[in-house]
Amino acid sequence: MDQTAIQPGVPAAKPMETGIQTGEPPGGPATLLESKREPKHPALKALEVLADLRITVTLFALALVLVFWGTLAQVDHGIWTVVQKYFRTPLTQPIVWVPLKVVFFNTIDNQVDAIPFPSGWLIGGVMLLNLLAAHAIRFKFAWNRAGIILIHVGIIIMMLGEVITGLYQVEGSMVIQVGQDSSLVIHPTQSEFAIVRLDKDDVKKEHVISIPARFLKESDTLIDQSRFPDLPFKIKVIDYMVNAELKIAVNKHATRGFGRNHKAISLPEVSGVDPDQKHDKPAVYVQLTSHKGEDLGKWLFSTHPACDTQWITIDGVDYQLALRFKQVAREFTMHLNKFEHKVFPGTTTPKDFHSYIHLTDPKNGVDRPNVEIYMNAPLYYNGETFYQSSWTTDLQGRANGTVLQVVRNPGWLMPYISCGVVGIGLLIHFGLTLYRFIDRRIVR
Amino acid sequence: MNKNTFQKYLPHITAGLTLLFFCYCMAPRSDRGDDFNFGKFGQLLVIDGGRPKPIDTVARMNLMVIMHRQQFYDVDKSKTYPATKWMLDCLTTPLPNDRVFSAIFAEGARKGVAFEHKVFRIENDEVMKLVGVERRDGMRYSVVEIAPGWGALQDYARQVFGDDDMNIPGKKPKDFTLMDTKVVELWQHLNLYMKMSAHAAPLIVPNPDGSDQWQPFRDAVLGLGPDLDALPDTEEARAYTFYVELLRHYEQSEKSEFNKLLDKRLAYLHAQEPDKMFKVRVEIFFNEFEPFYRCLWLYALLAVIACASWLVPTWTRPIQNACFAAMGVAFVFHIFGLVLRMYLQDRMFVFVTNLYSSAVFIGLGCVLMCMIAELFYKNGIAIVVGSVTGFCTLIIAHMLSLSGDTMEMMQAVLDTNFWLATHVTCITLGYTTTFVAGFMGIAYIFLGIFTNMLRKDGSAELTRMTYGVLCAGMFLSFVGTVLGGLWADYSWGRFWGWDPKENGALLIVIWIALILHARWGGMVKHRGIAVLSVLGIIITSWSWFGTNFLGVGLHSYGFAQGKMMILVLCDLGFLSIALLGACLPLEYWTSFGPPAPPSNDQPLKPTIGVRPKSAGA
Repeated sequence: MDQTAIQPGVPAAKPMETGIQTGEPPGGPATLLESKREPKHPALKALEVLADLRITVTLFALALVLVFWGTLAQVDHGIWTVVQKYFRTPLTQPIVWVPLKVVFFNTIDNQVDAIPFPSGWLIGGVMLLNLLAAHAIRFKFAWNRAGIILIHVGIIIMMLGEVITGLYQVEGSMVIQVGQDSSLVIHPTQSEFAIVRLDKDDVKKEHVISIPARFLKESDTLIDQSRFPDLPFKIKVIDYMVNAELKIAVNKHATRGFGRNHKAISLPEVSGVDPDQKHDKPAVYVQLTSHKGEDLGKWLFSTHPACDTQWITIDGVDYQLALRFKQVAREFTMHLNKFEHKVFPGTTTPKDFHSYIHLTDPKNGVDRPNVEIYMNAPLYYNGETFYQSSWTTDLQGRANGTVLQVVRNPGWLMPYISCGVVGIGLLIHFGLTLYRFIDRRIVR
Repeated sequence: MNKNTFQKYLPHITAGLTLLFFCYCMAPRSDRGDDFNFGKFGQLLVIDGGRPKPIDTVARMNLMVIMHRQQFYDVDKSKTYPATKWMLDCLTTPLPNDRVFSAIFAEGARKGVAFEHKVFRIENDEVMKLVGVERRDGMRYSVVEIAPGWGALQDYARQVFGDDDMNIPGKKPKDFTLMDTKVVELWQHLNLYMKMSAHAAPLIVPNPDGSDQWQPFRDAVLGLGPDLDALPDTEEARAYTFYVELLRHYEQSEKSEFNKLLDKRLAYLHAQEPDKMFKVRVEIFFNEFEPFYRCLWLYALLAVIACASWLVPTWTRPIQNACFAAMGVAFVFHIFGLVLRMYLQDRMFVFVTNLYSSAVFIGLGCVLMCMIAELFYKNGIAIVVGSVTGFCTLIIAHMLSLSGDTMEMMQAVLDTNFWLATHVTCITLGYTTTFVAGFMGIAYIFLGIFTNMLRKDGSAELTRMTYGVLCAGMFLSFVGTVLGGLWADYSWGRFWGWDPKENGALLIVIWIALILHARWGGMVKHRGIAVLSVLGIIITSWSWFGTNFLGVGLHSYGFAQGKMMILVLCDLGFLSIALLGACLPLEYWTSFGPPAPPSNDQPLKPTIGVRPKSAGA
């Protein structure tokens, strides 16, 4: 009995004695490569280095740590912030700076200092290369390897699916009051500063200049016509708050409009582990200046529903100003006929919430008067899926409207394919392993 | 009977004895003829926590929460009663300031029987000081004893919860001290008791329109009035009248009238709703049987016996066979318990609906997996691992069950049997495999260090077992995680949202993948796999429990802190075992070190982790 077989970290000198074949050719990858006598091409050598299983294991360990820290980070930050920072980081920013608080399992309170760590897509990308390289140099089809190949093909599909989702998935929500129509999809994670000029001839027609909130995040940023040519004034950012509540108070930070008697109080970002999962309500103080350099005052804008629409007149034209969630109108209209919200008797545990909707889309000639959307029964329409997500209440706390989650994800099918492929692959692979094992037992 | 025959039939005998034990536990307990029929009272149907259930369940669960017992132990009389007796006492003892019920149960109010029952658990010294009670055996206190400290308790609770009127901000659950948690617990127990005594729960009186929106007794009294003769002849009024009369009989100790009235009502209910009443009786049977609690002790016993079997070499195998047989019987009743649960919840094939049932199901999976492993490798190690894991998970389940009804209703979004039966079952079985593999790793480390059982084929055999379990774990965890993603996609359009629970499941998949790849790459061998598997327990415990502590919401008062500490301590324990396994040089392992002390002319080379050559011969 070769007792070296129980020591970790010692490379296998001969085929493993563990008795279970893994589907690797006898002798493992090492002997396969040694059998090639002629000098290796440098590219092949590089490929071999890249395909090393030690890299795979290291990547797994890194992924493990990253996922764990990415979970802990959600105690203080919103889930989407964390996802963008840790997991779906563009390859142009391959390093994520993990605060010490997170590094030490939230036991110390240091959010300032941070250590660098490879980001999600970097680890995923290298993992993909490692996997492809491994299959490139060891690829030799044999039935006993079919399972492994299927598993890895499925994993590749899943990783690509995650990339497509990260890049192209759009999530929004629709809020419809009972008895009302709506065709607006709101994107609460994306705010915009909207300057709306109503058309003189047609009141319903709007000319909108929309400045995405990402331009407002840095204090002292100046936004002028160089970036938005139609802008009727210059905007200088004074202070941007990711999440804020409003309080009635005399406020010296604003000189015009709503902000004169309201204060914005900065709140921490909604935590990713918050059971209620409300969304952030950003607010911003800005200084407006006319193109001639005339002071148009300091204003406060907020996406909070309590913040009214504010108006400004420039050169005789009225503009409506608001910081609002990005909203996009759809061609169809949904009318909420009825909304039901049931709880289990004697409890507050929700039993069922149910929207009865009349869907009309004149352009496509669709008229469906009885669409029902409820938990675990979404509506699929026009490449988008509508899920029952929440409800609105009136002042007495009675449900008076529905909140639907709207999702468009071009990659939605990929996890399904991947799941099937990997599942079959695992079954084949471990099934073969088990078969061989039992076979050997019986022979014995 | 000679020794060989006895050894041969030992498993049959053990299996028979185990079966007898379970039959004894299942035997129906009848009421004593000369006393109140507490058992029959338990059969009355009520709605509580959103589902119809026998009043027996309500009484047990309330007592369980308050006293941590399912039966009422009267300290003063040193006698055990059914929980329904305690509940009846509470129901007929109105609270001092409750005018409505003081008028109806004047006699009960005068006697104040329930105030004397020592049921409230106070185990923290600071809380005892606050309430003004002395530490004593049992640490259960009565309302009468707590009453003088009520004001202090209320003030303290106000500081913790906050009070808008008095401008007290209150504390966030994560800032709670141990005492805060304990005060909150006691406060909640007292509230539960008061809610029950004030008849505000459970829902007892049926709705006239036949729906499940029933009324609590209090609302019925306020709505229908105390004058029973003026009531119309409706189902609602009949139920109401019955309760008033029944409780009055109890209040005035009229045993035979109480029993007669109860019999009449039960006969009526059985005739009216045979299906529901059948279910009620099944539930009471389940409550009395307590199958998981019986299995718990049986597994503990088996673990001890199986370990001891190695001490008697000639008897090792027969004893292990006997353990295997007993384990098989216990396993059958373990499943039987889960099937009863599924029947009671109307969810066939849904083994897991909450944390509690996940623990029970993981226990079942561990036992099953280890029994299969034992069939292949008849070495007894799997029996020990199976009974230890079965015992541990059922202990966890038992601790979780202390917080109340374990068959609560599911939130709307979770209320789908298909996904519960597929995704949740797979994921939980995935947890099972990592626990089993981890405990096999622990067995490897302990057996390797302290015994010589891993010599020859032992090491390879145990590793092969672990490896097989890990392969199954890879499959189950992966499929389970992906099914969860598909459910999420189907339910709210997001296959993967990187939320804590999803990440927890992913961690397990990554960890198993890491172990398997490290093995395929020759980076770890037997010992390495054992050590990594032990670390897998920590990762699984994180995704099973740890993620629940992250979002300390309003509903987890008291749960978070104490249990978080237990989790951390357990994980530290596993970590130290893993470190021991990883760092202790092999020459110090009994199984791998030199078989005899090395002679002086051949000094042992101090090479770490490499076994001296002499031992390999």
